[in-house]
Amino acid sequence: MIDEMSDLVYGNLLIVIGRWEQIACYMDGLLAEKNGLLDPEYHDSLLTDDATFTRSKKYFWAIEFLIEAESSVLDNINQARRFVELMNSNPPSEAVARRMFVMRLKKHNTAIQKLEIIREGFMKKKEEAKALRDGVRHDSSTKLLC
Amino acid sequence: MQGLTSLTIGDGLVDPHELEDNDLCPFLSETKVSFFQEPMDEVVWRAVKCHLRCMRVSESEHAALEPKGWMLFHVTFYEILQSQAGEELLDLWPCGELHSDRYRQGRPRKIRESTLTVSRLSPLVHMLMSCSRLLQHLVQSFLDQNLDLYTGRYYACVLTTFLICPTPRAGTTCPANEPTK
Repeated sequence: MIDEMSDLVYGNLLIVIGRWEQIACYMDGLLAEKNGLLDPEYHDSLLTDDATFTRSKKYFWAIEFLIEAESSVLDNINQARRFVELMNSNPPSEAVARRMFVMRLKKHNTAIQKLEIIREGFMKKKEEAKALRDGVRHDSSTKLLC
Repeated sequence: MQGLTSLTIGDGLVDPHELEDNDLCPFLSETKVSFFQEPMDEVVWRAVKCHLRCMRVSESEHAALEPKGWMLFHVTFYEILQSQAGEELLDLWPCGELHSDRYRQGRPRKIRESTLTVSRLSPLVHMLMSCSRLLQHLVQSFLDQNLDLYTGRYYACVLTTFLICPTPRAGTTCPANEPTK
């Protein structure tokens, strides 16, 4: 009886994963300072911020959002695991149905693995944003150092 | 996936906090005495509340549902939306500007926290089919693809698509509720 709902949950979970992947792609673009590695002058400029803290604000927002996103993906994982546990507690008795059931379980576990990869990606990205933020000096502080 | 929680703002401004669940989902509130029975009411409203307000379902809520045999799969997530020109939408779900997006070409995109809710509720689909032409179309499309659900003992219902149909107050219109031609 749970099999029908399982397909619906799985199909929609894939869509949710797609949305998270779009967010991950956007964050890659937002924090794409690694492109500056081949441009020393630009890379040096990453150490300073302008008078309105443009770079600092961006990193600050990215860190806060990535904390929230990581927490949200973790909740997705927990919900999916709970559903898989529920499936496991209601296995079908017929052999044919059981084969389908095993396939469904496998698909759900693959989706959970994808969510775990996305979560790890967000955690790494958060550390990257923190490193970038910590490296930034505001104009006024730079002048003081000089 | 988007759900039907985006209202087109007409002449009057509406504060989303003023909208109650009964306003947003009158079908369920008006038929709950005549159709739904405890503990289904409780389950439906818990799911509706979490869905409409984009709230996460706590462990204690799951623990309360499972002994009754009701199943709820509910997740919240974020998604990037393309801004639509010429249409002011009131989003019930948390929604705002995407950081630094104004520097790219085109209209700035939005970022929104959204919800997916799937619940197993038995006779609900039949009732919803008579709710509106749009819902009828959506439910029929769903059933066409999931005939085993229609003929089985249990029906899974995607709340984002079928169950949550906010009916706008005066001054607002819900695009999804406009009659199909």
